[in-house]
Amino acid sequence: MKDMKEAKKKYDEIEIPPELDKMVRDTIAFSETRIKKEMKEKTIDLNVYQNTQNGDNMKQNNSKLKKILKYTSRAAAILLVVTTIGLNASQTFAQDMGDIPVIGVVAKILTIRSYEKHEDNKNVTVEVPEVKVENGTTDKKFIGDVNTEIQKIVDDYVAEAEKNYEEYKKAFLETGGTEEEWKEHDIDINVGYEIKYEDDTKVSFVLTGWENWASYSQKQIYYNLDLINNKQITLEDVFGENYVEIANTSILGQMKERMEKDDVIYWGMNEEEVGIEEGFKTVDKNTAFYINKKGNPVVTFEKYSIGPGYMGVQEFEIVK
Amino acid sequence: MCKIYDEIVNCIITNQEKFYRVAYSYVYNREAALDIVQNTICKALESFESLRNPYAVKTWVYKIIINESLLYIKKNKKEFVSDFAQIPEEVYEEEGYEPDSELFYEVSKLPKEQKTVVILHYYEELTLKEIAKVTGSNENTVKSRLYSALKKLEKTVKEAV
Repeated sequence: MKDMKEAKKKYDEIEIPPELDKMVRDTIAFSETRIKKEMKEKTIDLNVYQNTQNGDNMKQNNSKLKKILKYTSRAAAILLVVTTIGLNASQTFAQDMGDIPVIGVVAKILTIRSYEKHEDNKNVTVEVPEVKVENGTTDKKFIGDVNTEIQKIVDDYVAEAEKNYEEYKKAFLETGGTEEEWKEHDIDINVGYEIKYEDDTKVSFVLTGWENWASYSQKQIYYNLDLINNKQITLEDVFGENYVEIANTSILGQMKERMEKDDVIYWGMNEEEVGIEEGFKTVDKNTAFYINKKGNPVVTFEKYSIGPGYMGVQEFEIVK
Repeated sequence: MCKIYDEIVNCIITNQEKFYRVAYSYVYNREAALDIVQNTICKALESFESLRNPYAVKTWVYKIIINESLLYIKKNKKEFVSDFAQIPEEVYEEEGYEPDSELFYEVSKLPKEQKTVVILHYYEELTLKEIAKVTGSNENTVKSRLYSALKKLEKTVKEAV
């Protein structure tokens, strides 16, 4: 469309306010002092946490740490690592998780495989979980299949991430970057898991894969296992046949509330946007969720799927 | 502070005029556009840790500025309606309105999803692939939005003649 050239000319003529440059530089300077201050606080707190051996202190610090990390985009990944440290290092913690006296099934989620690999500037850290059932009626084949699937997902994810790494490196060098400059990049590839809920009849946990240099690459897979009936728990199991309506009503209500209260945007929630393809439509049998400590399902939406990426993963607890 | 942080700062300083124009194209108001640019800088620098690919700095800042612009419109719904016809008269004069670049004003009236694609592609000269990254949608969605925008523009321009 040749008229577009005219329009672009018009666009390029949009007058730039003379104070723009000063405002930009002032804002940068202001942000920098604030960020430096915050980083300093964060570092101190992490040190306190890592030096703590005692399980009780660990829990206390954990909540403080969470509050601080909430504001960083790497929070999810760091917390995952923290969970694993807790499992291996603290006896109190391990007792909490494994030795609950129960009748029937005893299930544990443990790290079956864990490795780190460092090559050049690439750091691969992997913690693979396994569901272990000690007695009860749980079908060994069902659990075995779940574990096999987890192994495969982790292996595929790491393979894909390493492929991306090679492509990134190639592109970097081809576009004029030097080997020395490349070495200055720290590339982390991580896989870990977090236990969300555990009792003698069901477990809920999330498997997370994450790379620090590609903001699109976080992958999360949720497992909600019914150990009595040997199946994945669905929203329908929790809410009955009207689960779609129940979940949608709750999610839409929470979205509206957040939009009014906070600065959040959900695609397709304004009248003028009706008909656009993106945004929340409905839950279905494939909707991702986990079970929280209260036993309520928490429906999650990946970054970008229902709103702008900076909002991150969006979660909605649906109270039973 | 660190390399990626410096790259973001560089990118903002070098492209500040581009970013201002993008913001302006959503709000058609000088003060509002300055506000949006300022918020964008704060947000970009606060979350610099989430960005590790130095090649993506520019598209990443575009993404933030578009989100901030949409947010601004949402927060100030009453003052900034998307319909260009309701924008105060003086804005036309301030920017030296001339009826000859009618298409420019038709673009401003597009639904915001389509407008974003047109601004980024024709004005800011981003590739469809880059736009997909900015908007967090896939390339086909971007393509179809661009086509429907062009169809709509063609129709309105024709009708006007």
